[in-house]
Amino acid sequence: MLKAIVYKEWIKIKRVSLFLLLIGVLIVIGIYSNVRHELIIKDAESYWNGILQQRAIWFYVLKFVPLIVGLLIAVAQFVPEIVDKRIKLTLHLPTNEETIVLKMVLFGFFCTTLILSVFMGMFLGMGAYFFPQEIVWVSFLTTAPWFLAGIAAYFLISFIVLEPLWKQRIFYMLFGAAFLGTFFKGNFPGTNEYLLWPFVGLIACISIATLFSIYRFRKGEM
Amino acid sequence: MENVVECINLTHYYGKKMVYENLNFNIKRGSILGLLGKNGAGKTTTINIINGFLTPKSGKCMILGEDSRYLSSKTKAQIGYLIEGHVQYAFMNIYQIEKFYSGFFPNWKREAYFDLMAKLKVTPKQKISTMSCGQRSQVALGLILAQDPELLVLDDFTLGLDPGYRRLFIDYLRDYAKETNKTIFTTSHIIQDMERLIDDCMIMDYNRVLAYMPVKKFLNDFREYTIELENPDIGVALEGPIVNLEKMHNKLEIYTYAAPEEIKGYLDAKGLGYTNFKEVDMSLEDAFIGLTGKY
Repeated sequence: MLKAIVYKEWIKIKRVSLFLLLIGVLIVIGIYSNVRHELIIKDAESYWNGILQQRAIWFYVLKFVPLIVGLLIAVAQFVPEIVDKRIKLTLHLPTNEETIVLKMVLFGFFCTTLILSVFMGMFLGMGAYFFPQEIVWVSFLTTAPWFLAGIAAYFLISFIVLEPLWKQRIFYMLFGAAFLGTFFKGNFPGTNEYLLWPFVGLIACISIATLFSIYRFRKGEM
Repeated sequence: MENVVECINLTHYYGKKMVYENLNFNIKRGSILGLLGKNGAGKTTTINIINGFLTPKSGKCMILGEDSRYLSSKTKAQIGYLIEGHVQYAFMNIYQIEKFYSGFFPNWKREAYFDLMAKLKVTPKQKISTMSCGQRSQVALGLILAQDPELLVLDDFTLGLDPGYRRLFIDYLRDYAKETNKTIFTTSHIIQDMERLIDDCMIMDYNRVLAYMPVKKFLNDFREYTIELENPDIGVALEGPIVNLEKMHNKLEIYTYAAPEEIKGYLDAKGLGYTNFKEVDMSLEDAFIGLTGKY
């Protein structure tokens, strides 16, 4: 049964996942091509000075990439379920309704996390080639909330897309935008270091929000 | 004979708008009930309640002995469900969708599905979204046949089908249901050909059931008479044995369960002058329109 769910979900998100993976990899490569260019071709001293003294962030281009990944995967996975109320087909399958939706969300979360992990791994790995460990660590602390925002976006968009009524959807969108905004506060490296665990806690809370949408659907909110 | 579906005192409202109150019906094993009604009469609401997608304001539906609000996985496996418009996972092709569903049903009969698919002129990788409505109806039907459920719940399956596919769908379904003693609950607002399929009919108008009986009895008992009024300006009330009326100029169509003599007696008693009294043969579609009205 799990195999069948994974099979269907992968059909829906396969293209967008591979596309996002490719784009993200190119962006990370682009970031370090630029770093290499600055260090080797241009003025390495002023570049270092910018990073160490002026706390410049050389990877701003990465800021909203995880958010877009989470958003597009959730849209690709759940919009086909609500078109023509196809979610009825899923809920009619001979298994517990909540369990099947949670399995779908779990698979989407897994794919989102996998893609973001590849980005993060490449970003830190390539960073370690150019920068000392301390700078790599700070860049991790800076980007971690952005990556967490990607995962939060996945859960929030899944919840919003599955919500049966537009009025509620718009309300949740406004709430979601404000919530996701908190992951991007601060313009200095490592600003949100002490918020990482609270962010993880909040994400854990919203991870099961889709169950509320399903509950509302089954109550007849259509 | 055991009831596969029992709906008891179903009442539902959307906000303050009443869909129906105290609706009662049941479906015996092996029989086919058609819930016929115009758009907005409450057909899909009933389907949603039966499938557990909607909690009625009061009353309940028992499906294969279980309350529809709390259907177990085992019971859901025994219910084949066709959504209005033959909606399926349109992003899949016919092989992918079969592979997906087969993972949920231990007694999956893939031959039944592929036998039907072999008749379709679709390419192996063609997505369902690019198929015609008729082809999609066959995919949906094939999946139900492969699932081999005890109860088939079909929501307005005739929607969008051309006459050929509609006839094919109905004949295939009827043969399958009768050979294997399946129970079917179907809704439709297109009545053409439905008498080929259903055993019992429940005709709904807004808020109420107008008729609930075996379709043969309905076709036998429900009658249309036409008369020509001598005074076309005279008004005829909906009362006594008259169930519905349609008036055009001096021609009056009378729909009733009464025999010709009773209607003639009633018209005479009311002092209505008329000529050319005729009884008209009706198909199920004619009778449906006669009962529910043209508007």
